[in-house]
Amino acid sequence: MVDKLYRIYKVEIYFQNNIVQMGKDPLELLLKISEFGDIVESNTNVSQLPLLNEIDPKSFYLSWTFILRSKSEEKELKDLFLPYKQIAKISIEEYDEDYLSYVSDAMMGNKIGEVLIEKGLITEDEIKNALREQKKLGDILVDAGLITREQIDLALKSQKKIGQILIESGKIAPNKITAIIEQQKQIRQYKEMNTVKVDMRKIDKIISLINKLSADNKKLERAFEDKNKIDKDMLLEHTKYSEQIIRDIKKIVDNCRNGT
Amino acid sequence: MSNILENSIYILSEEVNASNIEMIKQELLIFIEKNNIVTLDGSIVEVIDGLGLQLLLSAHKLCFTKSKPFSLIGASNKLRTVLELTGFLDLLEEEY
Repeated sequence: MVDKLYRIYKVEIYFQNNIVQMGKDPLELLLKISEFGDIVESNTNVSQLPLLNEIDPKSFYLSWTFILRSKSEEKELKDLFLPYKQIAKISIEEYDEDYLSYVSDAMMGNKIGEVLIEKGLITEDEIKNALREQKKLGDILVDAGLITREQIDLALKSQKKIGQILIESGKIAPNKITAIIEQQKQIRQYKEMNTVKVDMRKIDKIISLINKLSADNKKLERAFEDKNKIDKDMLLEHTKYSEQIIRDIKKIVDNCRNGT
Repeated sequence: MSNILENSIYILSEEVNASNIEMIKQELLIFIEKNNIVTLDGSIVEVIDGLGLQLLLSAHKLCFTKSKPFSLIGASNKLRTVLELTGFLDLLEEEY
């Protein structure tokens, strides 16, 4: 039997709320884990984390899931967690190398179709052709032989999702689907949150104000070069002028954000 | 001395840990309330513990619910390492 060069571990850690009061820092454990091997994926669960206005800042609410690649054996990893045994619930599972490549795919933010191409389960041409023919994902997967028509029908009847079928048929790892969905959700939320339509005239106004600020700075630079030309009044005037421009820019940006 | 700069940037202190977490929480609450764009500067952070990281994430969560953009600029090496390990490096606004 050939010894594995690297082992892949999935480590889940749930801390007690009072861990810091018990004299332990969760981050310290995290740093120890990073010394033990390569953390190829980390997922900090913030679902229990209260909003800033509601949080008790001395209680701990985060939990962590890591995918760790290490040369060490499971027992050594368990030993690392021994001091935390009473104040944290820790689970360790060992996976094979394929799991790591699944995780890497998901981390890259690939979509399901892209991941299937990567895995060689479907070709890029098949996806392109299917898209050209406006096929649904289910049809593409059936044509590629990844799932059967019966599975699709059954899925529709039982309201199962494509991802679930792929997991059940062992074509894709569960965490891969979860990670992709979570990532897509986050990207969508961030896009929604960070996108506003802006009147071009407002952009022009901001550029004009920045140019004014830049010109005034240059004037000041020139005055600095010739020390005789600089005095307290001039500095005060410059400061006031700059502040006014910054306020104007901020006002326009706020208006853009609020859609006014 | 307040860590809130006039031009709407909150400068995180050298230590963001159990010793001053209550104070930072109160300052951040005021700062978020006063600003539509929340920018934190983490360039001088030398010590951060789990509570410190958690407070930043909690502030981020609050900003998200209030639709206020949240960004972290100038993270120190220590802060960057922590963000990287916990998968939150994308909070950091890279300088180009």
